[in-house]
Amino acid sequence: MKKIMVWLLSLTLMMTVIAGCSNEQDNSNNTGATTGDAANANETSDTNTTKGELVFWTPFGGGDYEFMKEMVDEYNSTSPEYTVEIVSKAWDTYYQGINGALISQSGPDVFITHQSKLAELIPTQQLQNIQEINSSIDWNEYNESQLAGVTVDDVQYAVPLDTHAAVMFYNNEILERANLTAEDLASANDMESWNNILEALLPVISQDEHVLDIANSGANTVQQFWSWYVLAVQDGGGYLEGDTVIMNDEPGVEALDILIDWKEKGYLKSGIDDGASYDIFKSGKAAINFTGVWATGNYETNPDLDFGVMPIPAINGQQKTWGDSHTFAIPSYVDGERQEAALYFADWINSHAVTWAKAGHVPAKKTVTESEEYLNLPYRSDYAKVVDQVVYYPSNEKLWSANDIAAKLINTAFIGDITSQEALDLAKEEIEAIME
Amino acid sequence: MTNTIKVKKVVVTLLIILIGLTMLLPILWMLIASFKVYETDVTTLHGLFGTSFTVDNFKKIVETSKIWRWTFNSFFIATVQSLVGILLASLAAFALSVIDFKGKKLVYFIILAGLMIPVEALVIPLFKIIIDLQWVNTYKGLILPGLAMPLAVIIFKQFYDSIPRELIEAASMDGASIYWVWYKIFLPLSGNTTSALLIFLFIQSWNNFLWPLLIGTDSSLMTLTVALPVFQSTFSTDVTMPMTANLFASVPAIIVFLIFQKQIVKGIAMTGIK
Amino acid sequence: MSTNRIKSSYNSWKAAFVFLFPFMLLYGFFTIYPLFNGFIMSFHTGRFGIGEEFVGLANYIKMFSDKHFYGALLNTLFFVAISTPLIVVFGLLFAVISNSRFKGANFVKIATFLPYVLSISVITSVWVYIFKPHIGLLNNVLMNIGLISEQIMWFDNSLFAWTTITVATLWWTIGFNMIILIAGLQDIPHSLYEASSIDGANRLQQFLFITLPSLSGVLKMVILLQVIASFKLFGQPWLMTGGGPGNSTTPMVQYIYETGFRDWNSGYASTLSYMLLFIMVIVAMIYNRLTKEKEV
Repeated sequence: MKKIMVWLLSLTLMMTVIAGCSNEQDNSNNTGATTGDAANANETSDTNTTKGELVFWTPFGGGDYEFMKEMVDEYNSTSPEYTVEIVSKAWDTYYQGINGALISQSGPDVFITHQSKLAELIPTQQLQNIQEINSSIDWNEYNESQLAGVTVDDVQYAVPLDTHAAVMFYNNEILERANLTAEDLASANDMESWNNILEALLPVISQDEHVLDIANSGANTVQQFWSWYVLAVQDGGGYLEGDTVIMNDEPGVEALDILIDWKEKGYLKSGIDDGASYDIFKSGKAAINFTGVWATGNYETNPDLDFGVMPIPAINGQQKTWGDSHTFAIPSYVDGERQEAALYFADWINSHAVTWAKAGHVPAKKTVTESEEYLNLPYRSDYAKVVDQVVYYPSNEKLWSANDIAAKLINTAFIGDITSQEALDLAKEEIEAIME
Repeated sequence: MTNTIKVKKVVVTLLIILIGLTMLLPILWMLIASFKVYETDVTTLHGLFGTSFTVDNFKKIVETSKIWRWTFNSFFIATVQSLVGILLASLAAFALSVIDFKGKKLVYFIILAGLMIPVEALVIPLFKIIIDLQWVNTYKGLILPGLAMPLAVIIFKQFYDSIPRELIEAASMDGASIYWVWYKIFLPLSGNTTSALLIFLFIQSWNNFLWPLLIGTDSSLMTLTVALPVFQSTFSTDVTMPMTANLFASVPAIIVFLIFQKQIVKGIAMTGIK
Repeated sequence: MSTNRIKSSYNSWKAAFVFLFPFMLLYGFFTIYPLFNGFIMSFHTGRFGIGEEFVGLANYIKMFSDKHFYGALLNTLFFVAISTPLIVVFGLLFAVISNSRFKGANFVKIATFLPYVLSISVITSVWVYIFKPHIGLLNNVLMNIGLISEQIMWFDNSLFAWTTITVATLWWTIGFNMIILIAGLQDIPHSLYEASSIDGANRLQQFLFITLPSLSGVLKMVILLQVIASFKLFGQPWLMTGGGPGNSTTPMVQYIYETGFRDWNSGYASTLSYMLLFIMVIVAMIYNRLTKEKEV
């Protein structure tokens, strides 16, 4: 037994040393597999002028994280009163962590939250009213609808960072095979012309290629949910109205039937999980891909991929799409001075968000989106148009739970276990049950 | 006659080895796939054996993830939980076995009852306690709730019960304190039991999933078990990197297994007997 | 084993306290207290303290008309019912093989036992990649041998999804039961087998009439342990199928997790937890009754 004790203790010691060495790399690493430079030094300012450090939680990984970190490093190099330490938290348990921090009143000094999550977090009473924090921010610089999005009952709970929406990526090379151009796609303003395009693409793809690339399998079928959402809202339908589910109305059911129809016609292949869907388009194996603007940075890393991106056309009625926003929130338990520093930091990042735009998101400040630098970025200026086409989620405390339920049931209909109407009726039942 | 028996024996032996290989197959696949180049198709024989091998994946994992940190976390937490847990259990079991005191039966019953209660059923109120203590995202929050293990107490008590009382009487006649009795007599005697239990509990703690998932959300606090799926979800059509991560995470376990096989077996047999 | 009264100088309450205190402190605070606290929480609504309101039996009433609850409970019971016999039978089979005198026996023992020390994330990851359509091992091997012509969507069909979970669990836990059963096998005196072969019994008869009855105590325990472990099912569906497709592979523990940490309904989640605990205790008690009767 002594042997084991000695062994265990010495191993722990060894591990401590190793962890200590790798700790210095910690700040420049994240949990994603990136080609991030491990020698990325953390810019710390002169200790004489630094009063302390703000802890900044983000759910970002991969490219998003790299861009945000770039901006944070730049911020820190301006020798601010409080430097910022950016933390990359695992996405799967991010909001468990946020809720845990808010409820226990101990955690980050500033954090990223989706605008659609605000309704869930506000009841913790730990989201600081931004207007009560001293600042010299010119709120006119911000996009009005985004500001409206973070304001509930006249209280501003967060600072907008960006909007990101579902768009359509297309592969020029595959389009060419079917004698199609981007204009053809853009002018597909009704179901008939859209289906004609899909039909034209089917014969020109090989066995391991896809006409439509939309994730529809595995533990995360959110792309499928968003695609349904886009089709439903284009037709004037909806998802939730207050605490009432309206997704099982006619437009909703029809939207789901359309997705199933695409599968049956062979345009959509089943068994594609979320991660695979990105890889498939990136490696040039899909003609069309519906996903968020954030995929732009990822797709650009493949120089052999000849692709374009545009707002999803008005396939099913009006040209509308899905979208959400990232925002900065500051917890109430953070003390006054740090709150001011956090707010200053958030606004600074927003002013320099051209870098963030490289990730594909549309920055919240008009000064940025109207700037030459931004407009010169490829594709990005188109995205600004998309922002106006977004039909945002309604504000609802149980929204994300509802999304989870909806995505699961939509998937159940997609794989053929039940009909669309049945699935959406069930969704209404289950979602309204948790809303009470 | 003997020939048929010989043939029978050979056939059965081959069959048995085949069965063993089948059980080993997933691990062997994982092993080979981790040394293949990124995005190799490892589902064909050609892909597995006909393409080049490389250690690039290992390099990439070490460079771009906090895998050392996660391994350390797992080790640290498992070591503390098993070592300290055994200590506490041994002390408690000693009292229950050797000392007579009022309320002993009640205490024993309370501990026995705890055997039936899984952490899965307590996760909700436990989380509330951790929140109230502000221990979310801390090592104490990860380690302390699992430190008191009724199973260990029961096993120790059963063993201690079998130690002859004469030893104790002899010691008391020599004027030894009760603490001395525990430290110098019972502890050394239970060496085998202790080491087996230690390894068994170490493995259990290492494999914990639900609790670290809830409490350790900082990437610098995650254990290997919780961080692995997060890391692997960043790969989608490549199979080799996830396998490399799996192998990386399994090496400590496999080493423990090879060195401490006997103790592990003993530990399992003991929990059965409880 | 009787603990004879020893010298009264050792029977001091103070000493007992010192020995017991550290354990009981942690045990009381992190096991007993949550047990009661959870019970109280189950009669309230709220989010872990925020917006807490006493609602009496409302949560329990809600649970009994909650389709989701029945679904999750059935899923857990379904898993217990199919996995327990499989794991115990295979455990026994492998125990017999490993305990035999054939040359490969030890190899099988090690190969079967090895998965037990691996973490659940490794196990589920390997098996997910075995079952994954398009890029996974199984489908491609089956296609290459010509057994199937189309990809099997292992995760898009609830029966297939359960299969993946069960196979992974089997592979992971057979070793544990095997070890216990080997210990049990080794406790059976050789003389019994020798005597019976003199009487002309063949292997099968020996197995049925000597091995099995002698193992009955150990088997009962293995079965109980396996049942309890299956009730706690969480990691495998969570990491392999996400509880899907739909909710078809979502067990009770996942439902509790989602209610508490996704819907932030800690009161109702407590109610569900208590129900699970209650059912587990009932099952264990019924099991004990059943197995006791047999002995009499």
